[in-house]
Amino acid sequence: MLTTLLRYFNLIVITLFILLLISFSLAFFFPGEPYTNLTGNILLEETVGPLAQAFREGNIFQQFWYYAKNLSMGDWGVSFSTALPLYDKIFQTLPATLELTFYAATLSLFIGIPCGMLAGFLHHKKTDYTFMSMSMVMVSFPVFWLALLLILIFSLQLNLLPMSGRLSLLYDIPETSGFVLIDIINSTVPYRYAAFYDAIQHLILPTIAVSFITTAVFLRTTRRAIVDVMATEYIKTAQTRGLPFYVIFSRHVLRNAMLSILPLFAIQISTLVTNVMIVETVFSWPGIGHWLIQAIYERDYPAIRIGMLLVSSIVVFFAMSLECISRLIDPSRGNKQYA
Amino acid sequence: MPDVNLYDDEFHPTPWQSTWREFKQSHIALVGLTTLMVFVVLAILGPLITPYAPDLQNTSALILPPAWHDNGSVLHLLGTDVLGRDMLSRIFYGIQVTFGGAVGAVLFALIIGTTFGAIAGMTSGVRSSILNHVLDTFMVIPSLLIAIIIVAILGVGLSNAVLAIGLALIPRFVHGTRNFVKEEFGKDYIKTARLDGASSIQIYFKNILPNMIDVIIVQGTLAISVAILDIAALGFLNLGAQTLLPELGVMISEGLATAYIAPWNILLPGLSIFLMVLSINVVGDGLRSALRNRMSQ
Amino acid sequence: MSFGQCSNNASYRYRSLVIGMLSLVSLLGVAACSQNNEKNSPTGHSSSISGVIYCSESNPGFFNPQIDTSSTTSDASAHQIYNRLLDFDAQTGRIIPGLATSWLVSKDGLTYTFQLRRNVAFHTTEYFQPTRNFNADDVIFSFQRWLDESHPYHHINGGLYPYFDSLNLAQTIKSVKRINGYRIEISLFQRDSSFLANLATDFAAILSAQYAQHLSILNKPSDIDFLPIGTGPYQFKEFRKDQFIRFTQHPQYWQQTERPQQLIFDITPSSSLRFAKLVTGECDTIAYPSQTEIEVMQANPKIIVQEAPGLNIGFWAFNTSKAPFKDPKVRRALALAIDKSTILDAIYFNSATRARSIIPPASWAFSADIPDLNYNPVKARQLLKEAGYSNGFNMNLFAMPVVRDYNPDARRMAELIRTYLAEISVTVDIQTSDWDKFRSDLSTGKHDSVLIGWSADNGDPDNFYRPLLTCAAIPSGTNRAMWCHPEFDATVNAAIATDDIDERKAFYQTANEIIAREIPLMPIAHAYRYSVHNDNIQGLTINPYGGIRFANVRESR
Repeated sequence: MLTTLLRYFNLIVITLFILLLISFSLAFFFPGEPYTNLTGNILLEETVGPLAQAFREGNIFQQFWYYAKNLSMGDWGVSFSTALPLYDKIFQTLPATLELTFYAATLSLFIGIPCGMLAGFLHHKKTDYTFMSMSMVMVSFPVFWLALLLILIFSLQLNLLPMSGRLSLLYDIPETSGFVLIDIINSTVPYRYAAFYDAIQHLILPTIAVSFITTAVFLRTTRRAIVDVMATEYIKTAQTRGLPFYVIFSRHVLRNAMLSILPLFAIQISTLVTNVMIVETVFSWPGIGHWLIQAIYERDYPAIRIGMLLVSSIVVFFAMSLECISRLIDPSRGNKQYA
Repeated sequence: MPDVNLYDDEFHPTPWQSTWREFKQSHIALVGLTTLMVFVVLAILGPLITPYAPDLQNTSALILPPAWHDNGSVLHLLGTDVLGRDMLSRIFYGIQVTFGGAVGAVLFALIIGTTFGAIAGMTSGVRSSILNHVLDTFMVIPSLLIAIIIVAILGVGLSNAVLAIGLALIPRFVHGTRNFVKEEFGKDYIKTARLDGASSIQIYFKNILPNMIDVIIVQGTLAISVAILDIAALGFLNLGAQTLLPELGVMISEGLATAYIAPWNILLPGLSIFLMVLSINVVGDGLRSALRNRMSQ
Repeated sequence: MSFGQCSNNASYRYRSLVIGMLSLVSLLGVAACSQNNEKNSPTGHSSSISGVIYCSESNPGFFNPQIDTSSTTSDASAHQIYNRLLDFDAQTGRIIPGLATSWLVSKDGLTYTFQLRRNVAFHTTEYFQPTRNFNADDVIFSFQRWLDESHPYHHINGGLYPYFDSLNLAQTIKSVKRINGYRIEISLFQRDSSFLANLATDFAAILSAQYAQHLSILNKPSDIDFLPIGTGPYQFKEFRKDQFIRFTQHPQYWQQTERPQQLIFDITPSSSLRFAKLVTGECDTIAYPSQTEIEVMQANPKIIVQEAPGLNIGFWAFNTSKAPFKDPKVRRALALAIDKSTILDAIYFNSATRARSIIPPASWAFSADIPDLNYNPVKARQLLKEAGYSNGFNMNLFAMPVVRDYNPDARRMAELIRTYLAEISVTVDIQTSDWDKFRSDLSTGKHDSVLIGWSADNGDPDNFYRPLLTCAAIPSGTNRAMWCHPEFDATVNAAIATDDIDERKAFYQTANEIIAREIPLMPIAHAYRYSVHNDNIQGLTINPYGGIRFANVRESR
């Protein structure tokens, strides 16, 4: 077990290092001065700091070293368009994205996995076909079109739910954690309950938009895993031996199916993040995706660089952790291959 | 025991024919295939049969609803947009742009990905294992991020978007091919060929590649649907195709300006994307089942 | 996988897929249906907190209308944070007392004496707590800041006061003297019949001298335009760029009006998004609705649309300092090559009247005798040939990236103009960028021609002629045609040297004739002004001149 942990730790470190290298080299690929792309400032004769010095006189290794050092100390540069520090901006916007991702992922898991299991057990029955067709339809939706449809129907036609932002601007909630529901609970303003209700209203449509597709994918993956496990010899043996279904399910099928699902969920993280970023733009949700897309419209290269580094690091970290966990639980996983 | 054979010739279906027979069994898959064929025909021939040019602005017919509305006219079957451009023509052109771009991206990813995957599958050892894990982790990076970076470096435009999507799809093909090649290499018939003295490359082209085509096709259809969604998303965000091009995602983004008054400007292009992707998914699913069933006989 | 054949279950799959598609199609049908069945009440803010949300179209540059003529800055600051010595009555347009309760003008028109209002409190905020009420020192400070180049605050945040500079007020005003704590006297060098009107414009805001002192001590003088203090109905709370501006009610406002506790500007650059937010109730009122949206809003019982003729002009200005636009023949040719009626239809959708001079029909200086240029491409080509450009030439056309009353879609107008000019062999390159860069490019004269316009700041016609086309207005940036014509300047100056309305009208007629002859710009349209809001707020009227006013807005629930 320790070797697996160590191995994955190594892998994470290596991958993060590669991502760091890529973000550094991007400064050279983007149009403009590399120093400006890295820090957001223009390199003048008077600019102080080891990084500036390295750019004036040093070689590329020194530049990379000081760049990495700056990152670790929290100096992530300033944005081109607002001249404000990127570190603050990211920590303002990141919680919003994490919030939406978390709620959407949870919703997808809670709906997708049970339905998938049901479909798997009732394989080739009516329920199975209903779920399969529904999920096929759900997975084919372009996520931005789905978000627009939700807005057209629920906001503009039926006037049930709001279509932009996290919270009505009338509620002035001081930011403590950055997660809107937690902030509301922590605050002491008199209109807390109304604000909480308002925040939930703002959450509903974006969450549905993101989780729509992911639910369908989870459903299909779970179903396939259950079907495959049920087909194995030892389950059939257990069935012929007359074990009650409940025992078979909890002791054998569940564990084995879950094991094969976990790594596939890891791949879904990237789709989830992409969909969250797009949905943020449609709903004006103030998260990192919205900010990053605005940054590219404004050609804000320091922001793009740091945003890309951060998002890909987070995604890689979570995906590899999932893989590591699944490898720990089932050491033989590496020998089985699933398409 | 003798096989009483009443007919003189025997019919041994080729793998393709038996796949097709399995495929035909599912009605839905056939419906999907028909729809897909319609779209492919539209993608190739659509621009030739459109009644109007896609950027012709008819200032006397602005924001016309589709023909089945009270205010619509048969001249513009699917209505017009805010500049007076005919929706039907734009959608036909858009299908060509979106579908064509997706196919281009997938071909690009397929060729590069299968080559790398085959090489990775044929080598082994610690080095290759690390390489494999690194490749796997790059599969996890969201395609939108890759697109953003490419757009930031090279600028906006449809060709850059296609390049970006292609790059994002490569890991899929590498992964699938590598797994397949590795598995096959462990099988007996390869060992036999090797004992006969065939080199790795010969084994690859003569034995593995024909078997791999199935895997590639299934992965390819899935990749095309992903590519269509991604290209449309990039067009919608104005990071891919720009507003001069009649691409389906761009049309949806333009339709936003009059979303409340003329929702068909958003609904119809989106519906085309949806149907395209759905038909490809259905066909891909049907193919996968057919292949699986064929293998099991 | 060996669970047997699936053939006999294909019909189930088929059926469920059909059901799925049918439900999808019916959902689409609901959405595509007629849009006007608003039966439910709009979503909106709960009744436990009161506030009005205004969807504005962009960020203000500063929170002080003295240093910026952009209407976004005026909307955000002029009537919300500040007051002026005088004001315009919203209904009649007459000058009424503001921070000055009464005034006297000397017989020779050179001395104005103002009696100031007592018991007017400044804002108390987290960043400043005033210890005295408004008095003459504040008026002196507010004037001296832009009058006196050696004033310590003159060069803070740019040193440019575009409105006052374009009127050359620094040369007109001789002195601003304090008579006592509540009386000041302003002396002029020459008569100016538009002086009082100019004091009532958005730009003549009164700042706090005590706050200025406080900031000097803290060595943060530039905060005066970013963390503002005034006497107006709302005080500044927070500004988050590209997101929102938050104002709270000024509890000691000297005018007793019913105001909501909060006023929020929700910054939404996209016009269709503003419209959507109005429909869902996330905004109570919006900025610059587009014409197509207005028609839909008029049909919606929950949205109130107010329309009034606007005192504005949208025009196409030529950079007369550059060739070939130095030649009036070329300018006339370009003007003849455009069909104004198509532009009025396609861009303004009949929400504007055709313009033949820069002064709109709603002003008393308007006269219908000005000849209008009709669409005549043949004559245009002939004129070009006479001027020596029979093969045409290339030019650029700067199209405003922001929406204004006088031009709702400069980009599309530019595309139409490009098509017309192509017929006389003139190729047009359309340039547009973000608003700040756009304005700085214009001020450095990068443009050959520009689609822009002007909204009146007060009821005096001088407010059109002087800032748009006089020589002094070139350095201040409001004269986009870069046109300097001594005869025109003399006419405009003569018009404010007299108080007799008929005399002034005659002078303005002469000025109109000069413009029609020289064509430094081609007037296109005078647009109607619209104000749209949800039926749950009252008290919002169309301000004929200047920025939006929220002082009298009430929520009615």
